[in-house]
Amino acid sequence: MTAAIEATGLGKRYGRRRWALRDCTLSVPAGRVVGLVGANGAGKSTLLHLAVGLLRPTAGGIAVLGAPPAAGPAQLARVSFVAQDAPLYPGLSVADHLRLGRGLNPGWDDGIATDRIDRLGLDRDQPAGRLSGGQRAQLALTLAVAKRPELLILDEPASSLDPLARREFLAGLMEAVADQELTVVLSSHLLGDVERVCDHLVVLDGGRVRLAGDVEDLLAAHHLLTGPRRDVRRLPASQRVVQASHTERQTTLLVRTEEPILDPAWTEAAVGLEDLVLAYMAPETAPEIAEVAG
Amino acid sequence: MIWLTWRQFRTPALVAAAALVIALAFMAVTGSRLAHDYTTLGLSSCAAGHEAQVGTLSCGDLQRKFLGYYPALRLLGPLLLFVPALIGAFWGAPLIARELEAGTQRLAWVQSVTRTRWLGIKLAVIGAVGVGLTALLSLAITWWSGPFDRLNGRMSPEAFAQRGLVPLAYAAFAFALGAAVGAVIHRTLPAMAAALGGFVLVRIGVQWLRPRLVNPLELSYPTFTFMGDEPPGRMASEHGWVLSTRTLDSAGHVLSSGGTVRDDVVIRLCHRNIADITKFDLDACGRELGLHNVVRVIPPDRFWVLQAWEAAIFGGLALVLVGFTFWWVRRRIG
Repeated sequence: MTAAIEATGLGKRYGRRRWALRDCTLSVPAGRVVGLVGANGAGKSTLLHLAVGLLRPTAGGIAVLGAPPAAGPAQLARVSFVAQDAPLYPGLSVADHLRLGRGLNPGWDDGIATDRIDRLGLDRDQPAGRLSGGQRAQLALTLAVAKRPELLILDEPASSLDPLARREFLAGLMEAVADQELTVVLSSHLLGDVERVCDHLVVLDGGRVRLAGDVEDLLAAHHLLTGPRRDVRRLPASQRVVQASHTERQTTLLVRTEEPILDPAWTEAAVGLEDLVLAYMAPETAPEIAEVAG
Repeated sequence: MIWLTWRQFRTPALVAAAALVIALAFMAVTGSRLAHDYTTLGLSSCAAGHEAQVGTLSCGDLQRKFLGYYPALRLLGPLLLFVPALIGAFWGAPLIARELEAGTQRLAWVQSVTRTRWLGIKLAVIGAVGVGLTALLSLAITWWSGPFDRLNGRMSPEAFAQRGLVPLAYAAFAFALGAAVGAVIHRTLPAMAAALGGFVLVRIGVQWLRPRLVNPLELSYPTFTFMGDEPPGRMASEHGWVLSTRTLDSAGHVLSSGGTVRDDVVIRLCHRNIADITKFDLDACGRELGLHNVVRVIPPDRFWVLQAWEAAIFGGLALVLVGFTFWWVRRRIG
């Protein structure tokens, strides 16, 4: 199966010096809901804009569903994009936006669009400029899914919304995913959202991939160990320390290993997704790029 | 795509249509009065080269009277000079700049329509409306100014820029320039200012170039002939574009470059001792000095040659700018 997004040595530089993304090599599998996480300025937006062809790479290459981004109308039709803050034309009404979507997309499904607008209770004659943030995001999502893409890309879709609107938005998104068998790639710095909807994770930091893999596998492979203070260099070779902290008597480790922890001196605790991601994003302990197969 | 273009362009188009209707209505009312007065004043015989046949006024008096009647001339005269500039600033410049400024290109350019097609349709539809509007206005103004043109010709810079093909080329150029600077600058207001400034600069530049595109005619005739017969060829300068009028003496010294020489200068040159100024024969003095006017003029029969030149210059520039805009939007944005 072709990857949803396949990047090799991808880089984007603004101006002469500032690299927003550098030497990024990653493969985002199709058929998943992929969370792209990272601190602000990590290069998430840049990567997604490159994937939809709004930006052009400075270095390296990127293929989306096996083809160059925005290569032609057919490729454009396969990918939907909801940009940050859900850009819409403020003077155009909800109905105008639907007409825009219908006119510009041969695969447009009016049933999906009207259905969603009705359920959201949006007034069709209302100009988009007067909609609330949540309604705007929902309208943008409606345009994106009614286009019936194979891949739906969302850039920070819910981060400016209040908690209730955010929950509704994500529910709407998951519904669309279930109905249409979409591949979804969404960027977010809200780990709670990612944990709720994503089954695959890519952690970007400083324009580079720090961690990538299925959420389940990642959680199963990481262990939080607490025990008497000891030298981390004397751990078994199969265990890689992601993060270590020591007190006078005690050592706490975040360890990555495919094998079970056998040493009885450790107390083992489950790792939450948030702790895991933060450990990989923390600059002082950031390990080399790690990948989990699968 | 055409629907979207129209939907986004609807408000400015309606504003322009309303302004056009007002201008046409104004021209319809004043224009028919103008034509009527032109006939009743007997100016048509003046234009044909005869003396006035109505009343005791000379043709010159009648002309002044007629031209003085119409402050509307001053109002409508420069209208078409502004229209292309406005099209460039208000339709051309925001075309791409506003999308980039509001970030809505992130919506428009991810639909199943390539940027090239998006841009092509926008430029074609709005550009055609702009050029069409200018053409309509130009036709109306040409009809309206018919009487003035018959008196003064259509070679003066103001008239020339509003007749024939050139207004259409100006509009196309201004629109393409606006779109191009908008694509490069990314911000609506600075792009509008740059489009306006750029258009004015190029217009001034080409107007400077215009008399250099064809050879002007040089007419020479004695200065003090206003009471006698019109010198042959004098009428050619009447309806042409007078570039310069110099007054020279027989030795070729330039006495004036304004077309008139003050009486006291002439008197001094004749070295006459004037006891009685009323007996002084200015005409005889002028003949003695060999005073003659040299007029450099572009005759009215060059009208279409110059129109073709200028339309080609602006049309060519517009095409280059459109090509540049496509290249920039496809290759340089993102």
